[in-house]
Amino acid sequence: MKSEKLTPRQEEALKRLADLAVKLHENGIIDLLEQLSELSPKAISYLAEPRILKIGANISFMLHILEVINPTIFSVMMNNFINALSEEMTPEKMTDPPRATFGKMLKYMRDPDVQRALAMIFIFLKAFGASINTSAEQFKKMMDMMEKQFAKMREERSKRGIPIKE
Amino acid sequence: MSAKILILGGGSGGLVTANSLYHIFKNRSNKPEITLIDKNQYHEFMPSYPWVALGYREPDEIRRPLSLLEKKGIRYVNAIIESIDPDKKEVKTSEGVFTYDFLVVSLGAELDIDKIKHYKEEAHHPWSLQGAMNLRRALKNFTGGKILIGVQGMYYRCPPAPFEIAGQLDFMLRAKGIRDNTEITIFHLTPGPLSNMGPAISTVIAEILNNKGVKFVGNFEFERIEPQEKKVYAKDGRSLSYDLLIMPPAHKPNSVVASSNLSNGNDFPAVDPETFRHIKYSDVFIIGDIVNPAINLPPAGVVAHFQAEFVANQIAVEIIGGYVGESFTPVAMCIMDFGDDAVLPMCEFTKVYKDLSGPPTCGVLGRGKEIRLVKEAFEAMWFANYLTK
Repeated sequence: MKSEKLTPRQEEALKRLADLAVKLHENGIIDLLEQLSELSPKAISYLAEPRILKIGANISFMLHILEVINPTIFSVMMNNFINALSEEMTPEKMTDPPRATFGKMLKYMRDPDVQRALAMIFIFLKAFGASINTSAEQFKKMMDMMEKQFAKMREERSKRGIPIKE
Repeated sequence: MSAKILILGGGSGGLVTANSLYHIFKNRSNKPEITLIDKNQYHEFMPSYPWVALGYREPDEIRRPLSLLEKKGIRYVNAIIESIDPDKKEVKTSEGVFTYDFLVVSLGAELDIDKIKHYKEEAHHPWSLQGAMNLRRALKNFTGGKILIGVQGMYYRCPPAPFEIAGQLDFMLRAKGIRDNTEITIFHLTPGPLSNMGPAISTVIAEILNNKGVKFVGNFEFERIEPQEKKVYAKDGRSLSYDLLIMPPAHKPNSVVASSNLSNGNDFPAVDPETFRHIKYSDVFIIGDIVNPAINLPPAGVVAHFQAEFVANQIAVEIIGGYVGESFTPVAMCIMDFGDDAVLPMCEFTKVYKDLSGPPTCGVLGRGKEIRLVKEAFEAMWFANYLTK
């Protein structure tokens, strides 16, 4: 068999690789990698636990919320909100925190800023309520679909003696 | 004397069973004799079939010879399975008769190309490697028109695949510059895209299809193909036109198992859903698409994968005694690649399959183009772990 001679560049690379291998070997890294590689085929089933998957799906959804929020609107509004709060909530004012008496509440209600904030809260409540309705319809459809499937499965299992865990 | 473990089928279930047993016993003295029989010489990574159809992968990139198992001391026999006799503990094949102490049957579903009239001449499908290559040729000659993607029933491998293919086609046709004169429509039995997995997943898939201009027609119970009219009809009389029709072929339970005492005249064998042991023959384990529709689990490789690990552990417990390393996790995940977008949905099926008491718990583990990388990494890891060169 014809043996091909290594180029000086290849020789240099191999020597560096060998030196690195010695360091990894002496530090026990190769030993650790050998042990860890045994876990590789099992990794999927360890990570595919329902608990971990549910956490993953929820984190992913939280990240999705951050993704859909428009950063321009969010940052401008939040900046102005924080600025307004800082102006209102000074240490001096906080020594005697305001109280919302009935009379003061009526006065606040005439304030256009408070009216806008209230309108936003109502918009939020409206959207939240609508989403509850839509979700209820979606879940009902899903449950109806499942129940039809289950009725068929129960009949089939009992006919063939396949146990159903109660 | 060593225990004889016979594995029928070199798909996801068979391959993972063989490898799990190898890992459990590799440092032990009481190694069993493990034999895997398959009529195919190669294991094919089925989730990549659509990539072959769209030219993103070549066939040799998504398959490896099953003979690589021999490196791990697992005997591989390339043979056609002719009959299974669980009373005699014998499997008859084109390469002779094999006996066993434990039998793992993971033969998958069979594609029944001839079941639907005109299917063979009219439809394309990436549900086999050959089918994927045929679809690739059809797509190369496609210059615009109506692409219709749909299913003939609920029993087909990989439930999310039709949606994934629609998304990938949209991406490809835009790149080819012919998306504007192409309509892509999906028809399905469910009212919404993957609505049997619940609103958490269905809403996301519907949004992606909507963004891509893919039309979805729900509650469409397939009846027939009319080749002269180039139309597909539903049982309620609705029809959809096509220039290119993409449909999985009808699937049927494996015929060798269906004709054996394991099925006893029924389509599917009867297994205990807690253990996947056959109800009558406790030394026979049956996993994957060959049984899952009968126990309310989806026909998907990921489910067969987890069943295989669990079954390997049950066999090991009988040989070694004692400890079960893995419990069965009734979950499924799947990376849905839509070309310029991707989704990683997950579902937990405990309530669905065990006590038939409630819907699956589903969610989305990730969304975005980067999720496609996870699919590519998984493909690489699959071969590195299970058919190591």
